[in-house]
Amino acid sequence: MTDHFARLGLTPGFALDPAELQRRYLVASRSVHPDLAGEAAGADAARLNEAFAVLRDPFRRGDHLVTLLGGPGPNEVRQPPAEFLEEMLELRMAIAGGATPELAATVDARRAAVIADLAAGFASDTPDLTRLRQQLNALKFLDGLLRDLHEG
Amino acid sequence: MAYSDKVLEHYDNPRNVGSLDQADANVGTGLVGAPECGDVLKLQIRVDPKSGKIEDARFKTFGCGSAIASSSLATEWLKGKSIDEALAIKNTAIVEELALPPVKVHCSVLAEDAIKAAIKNYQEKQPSNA
Repeated sequence: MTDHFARLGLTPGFALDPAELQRRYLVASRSVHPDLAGEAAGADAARLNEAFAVLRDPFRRGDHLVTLLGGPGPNEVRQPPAEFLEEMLELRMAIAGGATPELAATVDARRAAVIADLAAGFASDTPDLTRLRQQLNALKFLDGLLRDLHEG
Repeated sequence: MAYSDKVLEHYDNPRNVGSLDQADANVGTGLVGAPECGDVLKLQIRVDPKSGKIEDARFKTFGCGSAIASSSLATEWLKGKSIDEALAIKNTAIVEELALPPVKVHCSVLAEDAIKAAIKNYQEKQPSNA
């Protein structure tokens, strides 16, 4: 199984310093750049780019980590926590009635809280992978909501 | 892609929009969502304790036209049915009735999931199953 963390010399974990990730990516990029390392390095460069793209995005990083840890896939645990859905329905209805900066701030804060909860959950000695998958589903909902807010 | 007339009809005149009292022992609430598209569907049933039949059904859905039409149709079909009959409602019947295209089949799956979740919630509330 592909381990995107290993590709960048990182220990698998959800909490990640974006600056450190960027630095490692740039250093590793140099050694696989087709202009410097020859044509054959092209495939390595593509894999490195993929690892960076996965790890820099909280949802994709968490999804990858749950998979690495042998947890349930998105088709096995399809729902976020029930109380989150209730909250989501209210937020969506409120935003449909008119997006305001306050609502956008609420969504941002909610997303930050889910990410913090994921970090704490993954940091546990015995991570509850089903619950983490549910929280990732919640994060996906919030990412979609933010996308809609910015497009709308 | 164009919506079918039936989808548009439910979308323009959704049946049974609203909520039932979640605290009522005869009310079952199903809440399901699709993380990929952001749809959230809440479906509630109230069962008549004497006849055991679903006497009322309500929904509140955030989503595309097909998700709203699927929820609306589901509440229409639920009324008057027994729990067993309601459990037999399949998403494929919703697809057929609304002429949903393949990319919208997941909306009908969500509606079926909501029906099952509402029934499960109702059954968990009944003393005999406690």
